[in-house]
Amino acid sequence: MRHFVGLRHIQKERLQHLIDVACEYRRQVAEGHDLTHVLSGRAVALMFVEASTRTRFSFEMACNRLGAHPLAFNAASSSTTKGETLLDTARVLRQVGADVIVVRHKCVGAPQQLAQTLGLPIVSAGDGPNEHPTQALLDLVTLHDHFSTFKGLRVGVVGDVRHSRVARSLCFGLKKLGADVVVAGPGPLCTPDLMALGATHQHKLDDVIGQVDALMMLRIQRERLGGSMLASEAEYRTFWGLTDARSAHMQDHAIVLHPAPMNRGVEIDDVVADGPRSVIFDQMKNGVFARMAVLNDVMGQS
Amino acid sequence: MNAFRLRGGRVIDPARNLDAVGDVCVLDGKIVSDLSGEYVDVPCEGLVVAPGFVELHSHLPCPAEDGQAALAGGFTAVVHTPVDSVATLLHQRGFFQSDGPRVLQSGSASVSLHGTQLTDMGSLLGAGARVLSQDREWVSSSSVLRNMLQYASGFGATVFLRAGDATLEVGPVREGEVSTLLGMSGTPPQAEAIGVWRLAMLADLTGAQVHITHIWSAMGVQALRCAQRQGIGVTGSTTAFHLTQDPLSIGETYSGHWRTTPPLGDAVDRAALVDGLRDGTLVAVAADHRPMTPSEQERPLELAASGSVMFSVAAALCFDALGAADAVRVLTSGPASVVGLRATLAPASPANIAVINPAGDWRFKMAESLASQRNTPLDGVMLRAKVISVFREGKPLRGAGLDPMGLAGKLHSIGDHI
Repeated sequence: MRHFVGLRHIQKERLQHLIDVACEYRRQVAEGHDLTHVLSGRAVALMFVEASTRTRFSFEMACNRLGAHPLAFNAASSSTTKGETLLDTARVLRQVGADVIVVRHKCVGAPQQLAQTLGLPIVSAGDGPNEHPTQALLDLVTLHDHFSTFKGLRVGVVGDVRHSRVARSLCFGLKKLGADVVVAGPGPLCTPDLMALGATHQHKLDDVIGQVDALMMLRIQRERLGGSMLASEAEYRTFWGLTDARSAHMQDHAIVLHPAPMNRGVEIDDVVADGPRSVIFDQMKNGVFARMAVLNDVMGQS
Repeated sequence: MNAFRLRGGRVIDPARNLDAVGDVCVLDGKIVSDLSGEYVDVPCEGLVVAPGFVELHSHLPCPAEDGQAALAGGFTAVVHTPVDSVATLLHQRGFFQSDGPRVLQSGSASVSLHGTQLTDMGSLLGAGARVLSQDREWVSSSSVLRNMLQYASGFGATVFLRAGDATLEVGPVREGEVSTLLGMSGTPPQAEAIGVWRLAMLADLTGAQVHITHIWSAMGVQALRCAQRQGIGVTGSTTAFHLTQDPLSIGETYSGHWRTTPPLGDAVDRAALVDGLRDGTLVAVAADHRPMTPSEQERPLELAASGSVMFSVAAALCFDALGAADAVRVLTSGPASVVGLRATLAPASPANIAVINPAGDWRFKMAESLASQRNTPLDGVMLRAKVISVFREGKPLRGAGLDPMGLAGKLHSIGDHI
C-alpha cells in the first residue's frame, strides 16, 4: 500500500521520481495529449475536513486530467458534524467505492492514522501545522524548473515557520534533495527549535536576503496579529516584508515563491509579487501536475 | 484453613529494609513467621516476592473489570478518582467488589475540579475519603490554591496536585526537538518547574501536606529536589508511562492512544525521573490507569482524551526501568507512605503479596487484559518482568493465564466465598 502523507520519511528516489513525473505530465498536457486513460474509472475521495479552495480545485483538476472521478466532501454538511469519528467517515468513503482518499484535517497526524488503519492509499492535503506534502512537491517542481539541481541550492523560508505545514514539508524535501534551508521570522513564530529540521536559523529578512537563491515568503495569518505573538502589520512589514526596496538586495538570479493566498502589502509588495522574480503563479499551475504525479503514484501505475 | 508458604524467592520488603532469599508464610489471610501442620508449599526460586502494590491515582469506571485488572497487575490497593460530594462518595462505595483490590476513595479539592470553589473537604474526609485531589486539573488562581491548601491543612489531609502551568502546557509532547520533528505544539518543561515551585511555596506558607503527581520533566524533578532541600515537606511521584515512553514513537502512527496529560518528555527527562526515584526526590510511580472509550480516544491525537489503560503493564515497565529493588520500593512502601498505609510482608500484616518473574519475557496483548477498555499504544510491546501471582489477604487471584503456579486449585481463591 503506497501512501503520500508527508515528506519527513519519504525516500529521496521516490521524491525525485515524483518531480520528474510532474514535469513529464506538464509537457504532455502542453503538447495536447489526452491523459484520461491513466486513472480511468478510478474514484478519488476529496475528504477536506478543513476548508480549502485552491488545494481542492487543484486536486479536482488533477483527477479530471487523469480520467478519475473526484468525490467531493463537504465537512459542514457531513456526518463529522454529528460526531462520527474520522475513521468511520473514511470507512464510509471506502465502502461507497473510493480507490484513494485525499484528506485535509486540522489535526496533526490525521492522515497517518488513516494510512495505518484504513487499507486504502491515503494522500495528505495538509494536517494541522505538521505537513502539506503536495504543496512542497509543487514548490520543488518550481525550484527544479529554475535551477535543475538541488545540490548546493540555498532557500530562505521567511515568516510564521513554526505554524506552517508548507514550510515544514518544504524543509524536509529540500534537505532530502541536498539543498540548504535558512529560516527567519519573528521570535515566537520562528523558534530555534526549527534547527531540528536541519535548517539554519536567522532573525530578520535582511539577515538572509542576500545569500539565498530562492525566497519562500510565508503568509502571515492575520489572526496572529495583535495578540501576544506579533504587534502589527506595519511592524511585520518593517522587518519581514519583501518590499520592493528590499528585493533589490537579492542576488540577480534569485526567485520569489509564496504558497498563497498573499497578504499583498504585508509580507510581500505588489511590485514584487507581480514582478520578474516572482514564480508564484507558476507554482499554482505546477500544483495540478504535482498532484497528478502523486495520485498516479499511490494508485500503483507508472 | 488456608495456609501456604512461598518458598525460596527473593523477598523484597522495603518497609523493613529487607532484600534477601527466603520464605513468606501465610495463615488465614495474614503473614506469619512460621507454619506448622499442613500447608501448601509453593516453590518460588528465581521469583521476586513483594508486598502487593499501592496505586496512587487510577480510574475504575467499571469497578469489577478494572478492579480485576488492577489485581492482575499486582495492585492490591488503589486510590480512586476524586468525587465532589459525600453522597457520590457513598454511592460509589456500593460498586466496589469484595473480590477486587482495596479501594481508597478520594475527595475533590474543588467543585468539579474547576479550581474556583472549595468542596466540603471536612465532610468528604469524615465520610471516608483518604486524600483530597485535583486529579490532573489546574488551579489557575494562586489565591484559591492558597485557601484550598490552608483549608485542607486544618483537617490534616494530604492534597494531590499536578504541577503543570496550564497556560504553558499546550502540547502533548515536550517542546523542542521532539515537538518540532512531530509537527505538534509542545509544552516547555518550565511549565512544570514553575508549577512545582508554586506548589512548594504555598505548601510552605500553609503547612499543607502536598503530594505532586505526574512529574514528567528533568526541570520538575530538579525544582522538587531544591524545594525538599530547603526543608519544604512536599512529595512527588511520576507515572509508569512518563517514566518509560519515548514520544518519538508517536510519529509512527500519530495514534490518539498516545495522548497523555502531562506531555511526554525526552530521554533526558526520563533519565532524570529515574535519578529522582533512586535518590528519593520522587517516592512513587503511579500506574495512572485511565480507561477511555474508542469514541473518546480513537481520534486525531490533538482531539483525543488523554490517558491509557495501564494496570497490566505498569509494574513491568517499572521493573524494566529501575530494577527489582527500586521498582518494588516505588510501587509499595513509597506510595503507601503518601496515603498512610503500610505495605509490608512483616508478620501479622494482611497477606497482600505480588509474585513477579523478573525475567518473564512476555508480549503484552491488550486483548488479554481484564480492563474495561482497550486504549493503549503499547499493545504488542515486549516486556521483561511479569507479575505472575497476586494474593489479596492470602487469597490468590484466579482466572485463565493469571495463575501459572496453579494455586487456585489448592487454596481458597479470591471470589470463592464471598
